Amino acid sequence: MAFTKKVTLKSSDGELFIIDRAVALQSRTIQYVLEDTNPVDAIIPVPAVDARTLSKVLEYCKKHLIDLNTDFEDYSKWDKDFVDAEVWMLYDLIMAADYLHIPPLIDLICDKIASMFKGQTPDKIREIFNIDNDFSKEEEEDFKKKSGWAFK
Amino acid sequence: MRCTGKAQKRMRKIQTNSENRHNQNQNDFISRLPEDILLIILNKLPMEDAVATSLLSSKWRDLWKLTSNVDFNYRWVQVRRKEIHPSVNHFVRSHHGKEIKCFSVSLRCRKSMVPDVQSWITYAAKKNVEELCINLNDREDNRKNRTYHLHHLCFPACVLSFSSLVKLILKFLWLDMDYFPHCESLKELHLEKLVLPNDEINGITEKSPALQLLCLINCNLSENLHVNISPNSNLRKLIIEDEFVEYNRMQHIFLNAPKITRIEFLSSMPKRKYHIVNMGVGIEARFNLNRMFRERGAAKATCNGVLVRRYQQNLLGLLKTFQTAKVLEVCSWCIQVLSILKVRQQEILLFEATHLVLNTGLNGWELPGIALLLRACRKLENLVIVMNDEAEELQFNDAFQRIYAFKQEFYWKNQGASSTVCLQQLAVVEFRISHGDKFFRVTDNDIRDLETWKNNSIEKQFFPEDTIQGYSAGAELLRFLRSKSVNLGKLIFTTKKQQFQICLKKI
Repeated sequence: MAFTKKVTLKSSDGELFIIDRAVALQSRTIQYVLEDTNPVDAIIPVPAVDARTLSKVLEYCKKHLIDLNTDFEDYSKWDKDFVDAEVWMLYDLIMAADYLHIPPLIDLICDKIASMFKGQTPDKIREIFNIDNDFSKEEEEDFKKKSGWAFK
Repeated sequence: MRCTGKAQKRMRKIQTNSENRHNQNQNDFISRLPEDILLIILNKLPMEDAVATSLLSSKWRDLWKLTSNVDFNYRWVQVRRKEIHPSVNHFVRSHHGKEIKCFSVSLRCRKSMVPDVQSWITYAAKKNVEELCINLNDREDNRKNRTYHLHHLCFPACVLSFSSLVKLILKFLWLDMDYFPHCESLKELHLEKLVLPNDEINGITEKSPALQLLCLINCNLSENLHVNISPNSNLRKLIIEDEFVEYNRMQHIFLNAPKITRIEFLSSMPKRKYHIVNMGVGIEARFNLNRMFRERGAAKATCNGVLVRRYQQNLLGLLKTFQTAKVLEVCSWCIQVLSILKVRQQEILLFEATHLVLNTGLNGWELPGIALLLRACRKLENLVIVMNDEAEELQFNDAFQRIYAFKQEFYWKNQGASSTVCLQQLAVVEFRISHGDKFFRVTDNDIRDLETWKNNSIEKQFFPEDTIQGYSAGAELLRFLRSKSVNLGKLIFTTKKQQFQICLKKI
């Protein structure tokens, strides 16, 4: 069976990405596609991910593949810069990572989001993530009664 | 007028709220994430933050009830201002998820709470917990009126088998073995400050056939400790970590672990005597006992040896027990105790070890001990020197210093001329600098020179004076090793950031 060394991915908005097979294999979704069909020079569509997000995800895959010599500290610094992004970008990235099934990337972004939650008051969290407080006064009262065990 | 205005406002708010529930705020990306990803995020939060997400919005209200990572500790008290015991009781009633992965509770337990602790264990077994941690005397909780007291804890009789459990951590309790469940999958067991009066460890290891690691930290401070590993156990690794606390120094330890392949003694060795039987051949024995420097009787030395002779005798006894070990690791304190033997010419030991790891500052009174070890390990193939910046020194009294003083700079040179060290099989030497991220300033030329050993002082290049403590001793030691081992083929220099591997050419 002849394996192509390069793989072409097509984003939802039609852009083509030609990348090394090894880079693409970090996505389990693509890995399954390649194993099942073994397309020779074929284009693999990635309908759930747009070009901007896909290029960022591939940037992550490349970094985590090639630099085997880079030590742990350098990775954590690179990762930290990588996830230093707007909330909507993190959302796009995590959805892409979920679709493409890249567990370490999901984990990395979840770590970042969790760090934004830590030690913050609910009001502050709502502000950071634009969450609307949709509780009615009655619900609020009811909740206060029920959750006295955890909140003052 | 005002009232109606307010009412209208409220009405409007409720309307927009209900609209929002169907038509979520477009900018609220986080709440649109699928539930499984939200749960990954939630599981990464400390308990107090995870529960607080229920205040955010209706979407978040019940999400925390699905969390699979439960950790109640003193931070809960600090942030939520609620006591842990009632909170955990509430939590176990509210939780909806089918499974919990980690369940950890640390609190200052009172006797009346013990039945509830038992019910949490039952609960954990029902939720297929993989990692369980129970600490009944959380020292983080430093509020007044908190006294130190060990409570008896017995596993609940209704839990006959806890098959999901992989890792179990028990701290500060008196373990009653009556109903210890069968734990088919248990791999790691950490016991800290436990009282195990009889043959509990035998019972536990019998019921946990998959157990690989057993870690005993300050167990049985006021009575003898029996570590009898059950014959059907597959335990591989045993760690014994002890400190000089309470009556620990009066107790004996009895060890019978025929199948283990690795044993570690950490922190210090305060016990009165170490009785070890049935130790296998060719195991890994590691002694990292630098906390001994904190104990006066073990940190001072006279011409007769360490001030409290028992510490020295115990160490030598242990080393003798592990003479057949394949891998031997010793720390600065052990090396210096061996130095006393060396200078007094009482070299009685021979080791079978092929792999020796020295944690050392390569300084002063460590040198004779290192020389002793190199002489005693005749089958040595692989030597690792972990250079430690903060190595402490035994306090030798004046008489000792006067009689046995030597010049550090010439130590290895003199040894080279006089000693009978013969390391026929030594093939690999590694110098490891584990602290900091210092770089070697070595050029390709230097490496080539070292390969052939052309330049006479080339080894100094690898131990720059301003960056490595014990640098000159390192260079001298390397030169000494090179002269004593004909088959030395490889040198490795490792820092946190760099590694050089140099294949030596035969001279």
